[in-house]
Amino acid sequence: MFDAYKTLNFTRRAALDEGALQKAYAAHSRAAHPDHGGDESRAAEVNAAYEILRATDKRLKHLLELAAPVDAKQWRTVPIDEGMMSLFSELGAALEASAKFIDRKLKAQTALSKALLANEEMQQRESLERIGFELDRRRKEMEAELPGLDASMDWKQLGVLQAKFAYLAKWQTQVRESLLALM
Amino acid sequence: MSAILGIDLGTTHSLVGVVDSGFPILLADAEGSRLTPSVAHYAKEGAVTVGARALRQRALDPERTVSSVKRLIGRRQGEGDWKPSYDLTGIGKTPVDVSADILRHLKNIAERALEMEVSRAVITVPAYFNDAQRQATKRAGELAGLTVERILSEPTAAALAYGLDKLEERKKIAVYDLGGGTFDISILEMRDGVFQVLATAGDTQLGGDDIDRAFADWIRSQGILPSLEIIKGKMPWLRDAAETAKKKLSSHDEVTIEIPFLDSQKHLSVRTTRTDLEKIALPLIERTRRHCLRALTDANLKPDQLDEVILVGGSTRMPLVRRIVADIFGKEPNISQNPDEAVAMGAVIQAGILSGSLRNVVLLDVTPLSLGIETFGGLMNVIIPRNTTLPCKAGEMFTNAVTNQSEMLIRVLQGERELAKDNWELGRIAVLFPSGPKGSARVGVQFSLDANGILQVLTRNTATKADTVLEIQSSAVNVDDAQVEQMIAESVDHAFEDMNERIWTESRLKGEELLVAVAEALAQCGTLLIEDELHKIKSCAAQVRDSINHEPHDVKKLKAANQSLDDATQSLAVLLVERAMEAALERKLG
Repeated sequence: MFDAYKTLNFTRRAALDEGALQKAYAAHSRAAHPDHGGDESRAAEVNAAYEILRATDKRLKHLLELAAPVDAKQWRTVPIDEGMMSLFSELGAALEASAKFIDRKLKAQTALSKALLANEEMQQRESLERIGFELDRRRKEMEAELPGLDASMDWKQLGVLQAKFAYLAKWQTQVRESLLALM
Repeated sequence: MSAILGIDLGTTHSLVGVVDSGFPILLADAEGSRLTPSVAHYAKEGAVTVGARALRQRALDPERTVSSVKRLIGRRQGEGDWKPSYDLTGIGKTPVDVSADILRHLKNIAERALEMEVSRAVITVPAYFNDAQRQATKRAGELAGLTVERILSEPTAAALAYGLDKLEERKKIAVYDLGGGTFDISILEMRDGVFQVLATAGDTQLGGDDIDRAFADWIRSQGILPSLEIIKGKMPWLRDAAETAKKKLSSHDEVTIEIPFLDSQKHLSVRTTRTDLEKIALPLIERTRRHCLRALTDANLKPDQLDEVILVGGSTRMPLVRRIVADIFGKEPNISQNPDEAVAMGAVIQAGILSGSLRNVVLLDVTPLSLGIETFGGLMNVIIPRNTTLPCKAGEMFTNAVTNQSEMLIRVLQGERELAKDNWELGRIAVLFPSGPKGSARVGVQFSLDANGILQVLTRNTATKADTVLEIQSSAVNVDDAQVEQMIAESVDHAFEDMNERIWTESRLKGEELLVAVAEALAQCGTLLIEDELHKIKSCAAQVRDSINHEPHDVKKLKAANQSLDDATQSLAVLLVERAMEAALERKLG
């Protein structure tokens, strides 16, 4: 099985320093890139490894697949805490409202009818930005837990966190896409 | 080791250069010019001229003078709405042939300047070029007798030119590249000599050419001219005049265009101002905004996280373009790069990297478009998402759906749309199955994009572990010309029939929308307007209402009424947006 850690010469762990990762990626690219006489297939692996390791949700998933004991790998229904749940319903409502608004905005042809929508558009943006900010805050909070997990080797908790990171990543993408459509 | 050329094969101009004793330099032709017009003239007797001499033929022999061929390369016939004034089929050339002639000319310029033979090159293409367009450019290079060592994205090349003397700096930059026929936006991160593209977006059919054409149409409508048929052959003259005037208007406020004897009796003399030009160019340039925002979103960056926005491409000389870029990114753009030469310099630098003379630079580019295959229900199944760093690979498993199925045809697609049919079809590949019961044959297929962004498909035999390259049966060529022409003709005929009805309905809907908007806007802030303005809006609105109810329908009258009401409500619209912004600010503070 492909091992992103091995490809970029890292030990398997949940917490990874971004600066160290970038440095390793640069060094391996320098050696592997076809521009510098490297091998195309090896360069593709270096790229794939970086792609996995830089995103926390993908990195944890990869780590679980590589190293977790069998019972921790089994598909689990992850209990999301109340805070996440309420954030999720807030997000759902905001996304739905902005989708409806974007529909109306696309139909507006004249400068005046677009101007009439400006106030609502800004309010939509504000609520999405607020949610985006909250998602980011939570992600940072969860990232701070990772070094402790590396020490305790608590695979179960790692599985839970991985699922949460995956949710957060998905929600953040949705917020970004909605904000883009609202510009 | 022989030298590697760096070539910028542009829509309107091309350049060639080489690394000379450690420095990237551009090479001039016998006349001392580094900029070669990307124009080829094919005389009836068979003589081929390229460059400035061919450009002079454009006004004399427009049907046999080929320009902007980059807009056609790697595209299916009849695709896109750009129609050249020449007929390539009549001349007997393909876009690849013409590009090869231009490249051969550039190769000759280099060989003359360097006094030695050269056979290797790096050629730049718009970042947003798809696989077919990249392949076709590579083929043109090969036809011209060049080994194409790398197909390089233009904005990435420009970033190299910008960053070569700043290798120790860490920066996030955007390169806004608006050329003659294409637009690209790329966002890069530079650190420790690594140039990593984070995201790229663009439009391969948008550039200065489009502004020239729109401006020429406007000039024609200003000068009192006879029917279109009479001046049809003279459109290239008008286009050249429009282009010249456009360039002058970047530094002058006003230019008078004079074309003597446009038809046998009339001289054309039209006074134009920068304001006129900007009004015409604005909607075209505004189209770049959404691509910039898309690239920022994909890079997961906010505009204020960028250190610089670098402008390249001749069209970025226009003050309007600079203003719009400043508005999009919230900062003054960086104009340190020569807009015509930065991409070529970057191509030369990349040639230097490949030949080993610039060892400390690493370039990590991305694929601009998602690669996928068609799956059940005509949907696109993404295999390699856009903005994946090159080179890259991804595998898919295919299984026989019925017993003893011998092969399966897979449509390979590029694009961002959900439905397969809305994306660009690169071609089909046939996956061969060994005979066996349903579900027993499993064949792994590997899709890989090389450092040029060019696709290769491999299939691996699980038993022998042997890889076979799968031929992509391209449908980009071999489309029956007559059939395509028929299709276009039919759609045009059909369009004419219901054109009048459609224009009326569109205008009526627009008028009705305006009336509703006016009523609501006046209710919200009518009291803030001065008496005269309020009166003007009300009388314009009455005009629109009358025109909608007028029998028989008068489209012209309604359109004019809509336009007047649109104009009359301009400051009302501004007022509404201002109020919305004030309210937002209050929410922030409150």
